[in-house]
Amino acid sequence: MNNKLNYILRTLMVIILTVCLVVIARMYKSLPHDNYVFDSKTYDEFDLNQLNHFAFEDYTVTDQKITCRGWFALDNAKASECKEMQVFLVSKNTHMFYKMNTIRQNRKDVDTYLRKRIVNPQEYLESGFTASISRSKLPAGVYDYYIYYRADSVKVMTKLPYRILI
Amino acid sequence: MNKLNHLKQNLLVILANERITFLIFILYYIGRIGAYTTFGTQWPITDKGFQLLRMLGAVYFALQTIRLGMGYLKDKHSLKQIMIMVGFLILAVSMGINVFVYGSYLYLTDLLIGFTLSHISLRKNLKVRCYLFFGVCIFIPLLCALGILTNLMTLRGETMRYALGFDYTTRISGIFGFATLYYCCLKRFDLRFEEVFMLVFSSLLINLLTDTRTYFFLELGFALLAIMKHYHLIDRFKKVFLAIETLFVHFMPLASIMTLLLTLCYRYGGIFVKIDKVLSSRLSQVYADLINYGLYPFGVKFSMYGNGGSQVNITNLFGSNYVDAGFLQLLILIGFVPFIITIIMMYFSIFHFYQKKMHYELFISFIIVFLSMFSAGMMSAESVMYILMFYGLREIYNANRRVQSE
Repeated sequence: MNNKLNYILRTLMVIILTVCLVVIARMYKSLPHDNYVFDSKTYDEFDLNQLNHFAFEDYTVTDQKITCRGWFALDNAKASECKEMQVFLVSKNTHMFYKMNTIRQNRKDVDTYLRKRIVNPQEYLESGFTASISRSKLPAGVYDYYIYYRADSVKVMTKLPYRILI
Repeated sequence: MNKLNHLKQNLLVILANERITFLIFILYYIGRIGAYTTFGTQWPITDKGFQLLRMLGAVYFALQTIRLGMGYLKDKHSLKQIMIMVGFLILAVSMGINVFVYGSYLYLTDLLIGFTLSHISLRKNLKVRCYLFFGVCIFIPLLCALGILTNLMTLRGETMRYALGFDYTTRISGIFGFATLYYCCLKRFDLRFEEVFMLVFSSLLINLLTDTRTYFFLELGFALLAIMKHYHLIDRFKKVFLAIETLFVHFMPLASIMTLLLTLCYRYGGIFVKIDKVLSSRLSQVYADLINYGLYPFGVKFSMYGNGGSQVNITNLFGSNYVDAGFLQLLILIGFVPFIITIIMMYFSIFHFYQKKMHYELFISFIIVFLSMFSAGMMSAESVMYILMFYGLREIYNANRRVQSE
């Protein structure tokens, strides 16, 4: 009796295990890689205390897409030194990072937008960006805007003072 | 030449001494747990001392493994024995490769300690660990209360969590939890009522100070079992306990796979987001790790950041990426080759305990497997899972030899 039970349970375990492994393999293969992938495997090299200037304009939310435009520059670095800029939406509850398609631009409309806020808007001319993401990728929740910025000597990740409810 | 032989003889005598083995283990554990206290931040020189202790342990247990491993090579072998040996060899080599990938020899040392200490009786092992852990649970918070060590604090919502001299709040509850597990098993749950009161009282205090639910409920469970044993209720519900045992033994490998599956299911949102909240973001953290770092045969190197007081500026911004499940730590950090072999070996040794009706060994395995699903469990320095694993395998190995000689 006991041997028979052992045999049945063992077979059942092997069947469930095989099914689970197949499901896991499929799920792992189709993992979405549009989340954050930095070129480093440690956060220690990020400079967490860099002062920056940031302006957010034009942000459009439609049923399909979220698009935003703005400027970001570090206080102690020239905008022209920037090597990489990437905007993220970060889920407040789960801290999952969602990469937005970010295009760096030399935006001439900097004067129009920043004239009233910053003394010398022309310094930000080269640090403009447009970022967008499809809404279907984002589960409902509250998201913070983050910017990843890399120049020659510094790597920065900053939480921006903007939040969006999806 | 004579001198060399003499030296070798002396070394073998030292290695054969149980007391020295336990002493080195205690020193190694102090070296390991010392790194998890605020000693290092307050007096950086102590960190070097702890490092030395860890290195001493690693070298000693590597020598022990070679000595004991050589002993196995002398006999004639059946196919089963050769398979067990090859399994161990692959596990040791793959964890050795992981040392270069991951950059830390602690997990390999844990494996070697498991192999070495499995040659000493389990009772002695549990006894040494039990008293050592109770000692640590008293000594470090005492230093903290006397103002020698810093009491780091973190917040969970509105609740303040104290680390009591350690680097993170759950550390002390984990050590205390394992100590009580070993104590209860040593006493076969024949606890006096005073002991039950002390157990519940201390777990209550630790829960109120550190806000750790897992170990709190675990210790209440131990107290309940002790009370049940006192009133002979365990015998009355024997069939239920045996049924749970049978299910555990047969479905143990599923626990590890289900943990991974649940983590991957996080992408579907809905109920899984709710489960994630109940499990304090464990699913989302590991899910993000799987996307960012992936799975490799011999593990991957990345810095883990927990919600501890010392890393709060990083986790405030990036969130924690700590892999808070023993099985997944083994899978992601050490690699899927050691993961598969460990699970198979664990399964065989647990099955052996089941066939021999070794209920207390099974109980400890059950608790550690259960803990490995949502805390460091088998991968923590306090666990005896590797000892149990090799203990079971060794019995299978020797049982086979006995049959042969008959």
